[in-house]
Amino acid sequence: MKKAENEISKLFTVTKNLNERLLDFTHIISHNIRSNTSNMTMILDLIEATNDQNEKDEYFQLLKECNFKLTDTIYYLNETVNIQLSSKEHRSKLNLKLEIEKILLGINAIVLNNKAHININIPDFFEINTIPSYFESIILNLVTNAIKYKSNERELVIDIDVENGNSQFSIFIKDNGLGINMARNKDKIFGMYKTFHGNPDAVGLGLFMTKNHIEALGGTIEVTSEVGCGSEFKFTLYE
Amino acid sequence: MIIDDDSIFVFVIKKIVSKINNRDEVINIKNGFDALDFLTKIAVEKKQFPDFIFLDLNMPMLDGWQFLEEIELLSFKNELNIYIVSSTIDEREIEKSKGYKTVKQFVPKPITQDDLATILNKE
Repeated sequence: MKKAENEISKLFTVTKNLNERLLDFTHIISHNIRSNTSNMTMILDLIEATNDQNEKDEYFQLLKECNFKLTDTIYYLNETVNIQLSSKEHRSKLNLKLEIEKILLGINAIVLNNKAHININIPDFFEINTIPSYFESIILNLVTNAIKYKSNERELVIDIDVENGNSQFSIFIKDNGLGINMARNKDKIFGMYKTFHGNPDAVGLGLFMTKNHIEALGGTIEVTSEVGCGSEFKFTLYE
Repeated sequence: MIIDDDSIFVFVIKKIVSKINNRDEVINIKNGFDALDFLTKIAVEKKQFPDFIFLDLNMPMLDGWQFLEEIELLSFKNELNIYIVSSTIDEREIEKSKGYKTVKQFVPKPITQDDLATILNKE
């Protein structure tokens, strides 16, 4: 009986997640694909309406730009599908602490340049079973985000913790950076092409891809944050 | 005035406006947050509001919906001529736009020169 209940609740979660992903997809089609095709339509109208060759050349450049953006969007959408499709294979056992240390070594220069103190509070013999490249991408993204959005008023401290549960584990990555306005951005934080700090270099793909990697591993991610105090990302993976 | 972070769309609208009517000036602000700031300043300095406000939905900082939530709280909301101009095909978003008294109309992207002329001639 208990087992059946668990099974139903698991199925419910899966369905709910799939539904949410479909809604996300409508949003991406509406805003990231249609915005480009609609621009192309308007530019083509302008080209048709003029005989001035200089004007036409100008529109041609714009069309190229639209095409580039659209190609980019489709590439990343395709990536997310690939992530979901290949999630069944290549799992291997990793020592969690060693793996995170290895990943952070790859961005050692960024860590040192930004005087970031990273505390890895993970037991020595904690093993996980995961897809290494996905796991690396998740950790890299969350840590480099913490560095990118550090506060100028204090030295950056990042704490990485793990919590072991029944056939699941959660990893916490906590920083004392700028923080995110959650009242405003709760629904958008993991969305495609969403940015939050008015930073002109931000593209809005990092957390979108991170969420996709975690979901492909059958996990979930959540965030708590306060502006001026910092953020904590918690992701849970199931064995 | 266009509140939209898509520089290509803004460029195209400016072109079309200049073809319809050469005298009109188009101001572009790239997110709801700065737009709110801009409009509040106009209100404080008792200057003239833009004749039309074309509001995109998907923007950084404050998006179109959040901009409207903030506008609803302001005393000068009824003096604004707000049109939502968006590429969305999500029925829920189109329905939602009808719930705001401050929104004159939902205008889907792409906009044709005729559509734009019809709106601009309303004033």
